[in-house]
Amino acid sequence: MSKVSKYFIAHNSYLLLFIYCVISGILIRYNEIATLQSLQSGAMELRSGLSEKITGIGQYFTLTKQNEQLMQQNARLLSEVLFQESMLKDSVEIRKLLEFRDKNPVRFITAKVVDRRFDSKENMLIVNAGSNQGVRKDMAVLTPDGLIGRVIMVSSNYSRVMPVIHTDFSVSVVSDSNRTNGILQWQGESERYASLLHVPLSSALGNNENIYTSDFSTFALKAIPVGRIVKLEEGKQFYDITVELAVDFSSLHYVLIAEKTVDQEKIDIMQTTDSQ
Amino acid sequence: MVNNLFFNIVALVILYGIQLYAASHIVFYGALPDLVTIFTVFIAMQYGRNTGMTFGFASGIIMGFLTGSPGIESLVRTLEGFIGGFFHIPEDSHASPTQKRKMFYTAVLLASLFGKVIAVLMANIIGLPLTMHLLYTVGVATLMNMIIAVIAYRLLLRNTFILN
Repeated sequence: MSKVSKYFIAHNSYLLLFIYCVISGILIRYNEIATLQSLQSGAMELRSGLSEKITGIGQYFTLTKQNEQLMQQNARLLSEVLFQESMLKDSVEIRKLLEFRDKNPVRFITAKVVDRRFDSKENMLIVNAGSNQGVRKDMAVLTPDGLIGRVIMVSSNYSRVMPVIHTDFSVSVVSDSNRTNGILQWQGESERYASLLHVPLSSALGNNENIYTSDFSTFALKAIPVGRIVKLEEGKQFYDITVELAVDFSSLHYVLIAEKTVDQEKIDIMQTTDSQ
Repeated sequence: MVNNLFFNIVALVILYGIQLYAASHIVFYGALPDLVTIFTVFIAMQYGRNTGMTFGFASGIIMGFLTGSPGIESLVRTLEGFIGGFFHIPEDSHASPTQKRKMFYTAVLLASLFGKVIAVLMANIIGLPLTMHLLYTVGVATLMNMIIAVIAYRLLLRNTFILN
């Protein structure tokens, strides 16, 4: 056997190493060719498929934790959605108030209802506008929908409002069609209805007539919507009239306080006339 | 021999699966333990240099296609098999178990070091930072391989015929 072949047989490991290194070098050099790339992509498919199966098995054991995380995320997202919906509704209401205020020649103070008590005959509202914001006692409180009540107590930044649905509240009102006057008063029953008093049988009032504040009111501007007549019954001398109030007191959030009050001179002369 | 070959291939597949999905979570400064290196060295010590190199080359090709660099993987595993072959223990060897254990640890240490250096140098051709790899990948990866080799020897390899 020749010396060369004997040499190779004796050092076949190095020959094999050389061959493997050359093949590896070729693979490194031509790593980007299409055939190798397709083999690599096929291998990657296989590996990814196996990974997916294995991680799927692992994920089974973490489902409880994942569920808890998802529930927490849901709670957080729900809270954000509710907050944003609330803000959206507030913004719609505020926009409505501002449009009404801007169109009206009378100046209004915007306030938010911060506390309320609507479970008794002496219902009450607290709003976050007081003397610092220009609120004074006996100012009318309203929304674009209608009359809310009157300011009865003022502090620096808050005011107490006696709403229409208070047994001590009364306001002079007038009907839409024939200008029939009467006094609106709440009887302590349903929050949606009040009574229109002192309307003589001779008046020509009818059902579904709208009622507004009149010139005779000592605190409210005239023509503020108050409600609509829904029931009209003849009494002995006067009508028994039920008025559906224009404002839904259960959904009050923002109100307007009318800066202009009735002339003090008018109030003084009325009181002087009474005392005489 | 055929049975052993089949067993070794199955063992390689299992080890590769463990390497991919379990050992890959044990990362320390960018270095991972390499179970296939330890197994290649073991094959080389058991069956000789040629078989070790061939086994390393084949496993490198397979792993390389799965990781995206068949050339580098096959080169590194071939060299690891070559170095492991220097510590081949013949069947009729009279070496004591202690000597065999030391030879195994030395083979794994040298194969890991040499393999990682080659891998870093080859990867550096592609433009990765050399200093970081030499400091962390080579040193730390070799250390992790040694830890795995000690554990593997204590738990599994001590009772094989070649290292007993």
